[in-house]
Amino acid sequence: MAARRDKVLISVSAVALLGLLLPLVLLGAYLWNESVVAEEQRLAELSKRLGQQTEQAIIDARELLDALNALTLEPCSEQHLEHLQEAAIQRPHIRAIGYWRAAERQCGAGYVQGQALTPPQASRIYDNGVIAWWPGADTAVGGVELFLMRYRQHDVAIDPRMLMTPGLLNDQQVGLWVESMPMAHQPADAELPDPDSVRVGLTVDREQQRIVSRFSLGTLFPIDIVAVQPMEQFRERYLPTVIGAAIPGLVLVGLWLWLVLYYLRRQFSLSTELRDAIARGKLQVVYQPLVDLNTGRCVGGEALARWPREGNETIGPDVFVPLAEDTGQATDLTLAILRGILDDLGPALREAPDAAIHLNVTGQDLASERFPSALKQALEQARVPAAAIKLEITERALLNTDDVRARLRALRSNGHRIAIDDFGTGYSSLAYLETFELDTLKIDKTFADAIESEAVTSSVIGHIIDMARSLELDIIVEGIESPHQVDWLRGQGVGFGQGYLFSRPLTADQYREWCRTRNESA
Amino acid sequence: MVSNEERIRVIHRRYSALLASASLLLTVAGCGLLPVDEPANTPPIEDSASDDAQPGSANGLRIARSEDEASGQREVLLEGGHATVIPENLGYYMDILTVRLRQDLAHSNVAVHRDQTRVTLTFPGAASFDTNSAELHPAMRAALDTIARVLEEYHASLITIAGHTDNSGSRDYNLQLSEQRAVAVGRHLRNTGIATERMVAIGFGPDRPVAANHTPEGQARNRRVELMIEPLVAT
Repeated sequence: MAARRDKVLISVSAVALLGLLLPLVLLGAYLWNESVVAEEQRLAELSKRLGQQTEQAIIDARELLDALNALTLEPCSEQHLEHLQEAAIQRPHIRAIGYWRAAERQCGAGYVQGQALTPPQASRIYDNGVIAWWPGADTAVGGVELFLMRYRQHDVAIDPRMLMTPGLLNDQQVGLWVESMPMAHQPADAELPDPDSVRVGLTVDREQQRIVSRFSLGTLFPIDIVAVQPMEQFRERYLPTVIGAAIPGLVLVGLWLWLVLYYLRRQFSLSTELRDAIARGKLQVVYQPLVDLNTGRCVGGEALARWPREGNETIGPDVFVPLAEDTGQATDLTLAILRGILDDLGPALREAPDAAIHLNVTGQDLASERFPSALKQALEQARVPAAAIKLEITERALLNTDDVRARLRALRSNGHRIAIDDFGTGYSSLAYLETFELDTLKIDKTFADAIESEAVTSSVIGHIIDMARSLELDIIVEGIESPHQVDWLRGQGVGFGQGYLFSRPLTADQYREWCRTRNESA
Repeated sequence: MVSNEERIRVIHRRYSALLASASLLLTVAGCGLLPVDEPANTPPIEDSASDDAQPGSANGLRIARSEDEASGQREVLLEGGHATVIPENLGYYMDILTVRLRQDLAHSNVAVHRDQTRVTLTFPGAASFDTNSAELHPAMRAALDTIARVLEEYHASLITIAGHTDNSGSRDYNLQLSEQRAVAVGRHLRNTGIATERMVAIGFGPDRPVAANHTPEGQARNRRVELMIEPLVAT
């Protein structure tokens, strides 16, 4: 009893724990994924802005050079220099502007007098006459590698660090590539993977615990932006979001737990109620008649329990029988039904024990020491012979143990007859059944249905009938609903039937009356 | 023959802005440079100088017989204190010179080719001269004017003007024709303001084909004038 309760509690706890873990795991996976997507979008947006900014700076420099070359001012005059100064001041990323004759810088704005950059090898020469030198050792001034563009008489020197506007992606390592050549990166000691080695979009690099992203712009010049941030930082950024989303998640989990506990309590309270109903004899017993298919006579009935509850919904045997089994009340239930039978039909059974009442017996009953003696005692008290109570055991309860065999043999030697209920739904073989001492096979309703629909399985019932006959057992077919089934079964030599065609389950009085009428007319 | 004084007067009149380079021309004019041969002994060749109205104006333009001799002019310029490119700037100088020439000559039929130490401009013969003539076509004059403007800025350079022919006709005749064409180009550049000591003319005749002469197309490619612009690197 206590063990049973423990088992129930363990199962319930396991379900509750699963209910707790599963949503948490799903929620975690979902939030992680959402964070990655959100970060990807954020980086894509920032990278796009960075790339556009760079592109804009290059286009602007080109236009500036064009405009400066078109100036009609006298070279290196005060006005010319003022003009250069002005243009440089307006553009924070431009470090210097120079006016050149061939390879000699004549004058300009930005550098100290005499400074000039003449890198030996152009990085790019464009068809429109613009020459560009990417940042490198040959373009360094004061330790800063500059990006140079020259068009005819003028050149501009761009500080690429200024293209990475402070504030944009400033919390991570970022590198900027233009036309696949490194243009800028921050911070100064950043070590960034080459864009070609990085998948476009966001990559979670678990091995190095970092998040690497690469985005590309390809409008005028191919521009690639690679950003790297430690996983830690990424987690910190999205922690508030995760917490924000986790609270409703936890509420859901709590709701789930409450539901499980509510169900548990209900089950326990229902089992208490059942115990009370059994103890106070509140269960009703109804009887479904069994009929001889050849004579049409009533040859007995199957006792079925009803549990009428005051002010509550009626709970069917499909619920309370398993509940009784789960809460260790199966034998109490069986004995309560037996008491009901003896109270209702005691005198009748004493007079005509052949019209036996079938009592459903569970696997637990067979396993318990108490059941056989309680059964014997109740019958003796009511002075009803054992032959009047036929015991129905489901095929699945017919365990392959010597205990069960011995108990069945003992019950049978007391005078009870034994029927196998719901036969055909288990997988018992002929050889297996032979090892038990049995009297009757009750063939499950599904096979009777098959006769009516003339489905393929109707051949199965033929085999079952043959099997029963070879074991020299009586056959009762359950769930008979049409005369056609009766004809067919009679043709097969089946002796007995039960079903709505004859009668639904009846109260004791109705049952007695039904049998009397039936047998008089037969 | 017109005297040097007269010649300078003409240049003054025409290119008063280039007075400085013109007087430089004067100072080197008589300094032991080879005199240019008068194109008198070969009647079929028209004298390209005739349109300059200065028949003796080729004086002062060095004519070389070999490439070695042509590069000797480098030493002359360096020794004479001509502007130079410092070695560290050579790559930069070549880059910007090439790009400038390519851009300015984009709409001409002059091909610009750059190699390690010089930029070569190639004028296709057919578009530059009439057959057997050393007279410049107008299109070629226009291209030379453009080039002269660039050379004026990029003045730290030696210009070797090479004439080439195909292999039809006698070699001597072709050598002479190619030389006269090179001289005509040099003369035009000089008149545009380029100092003569920066230039050397060579006639290679049929000796340096760039294509096989057995097809008309190949012959056409071989008829050409090349301007090789070589930065003068300080030593």
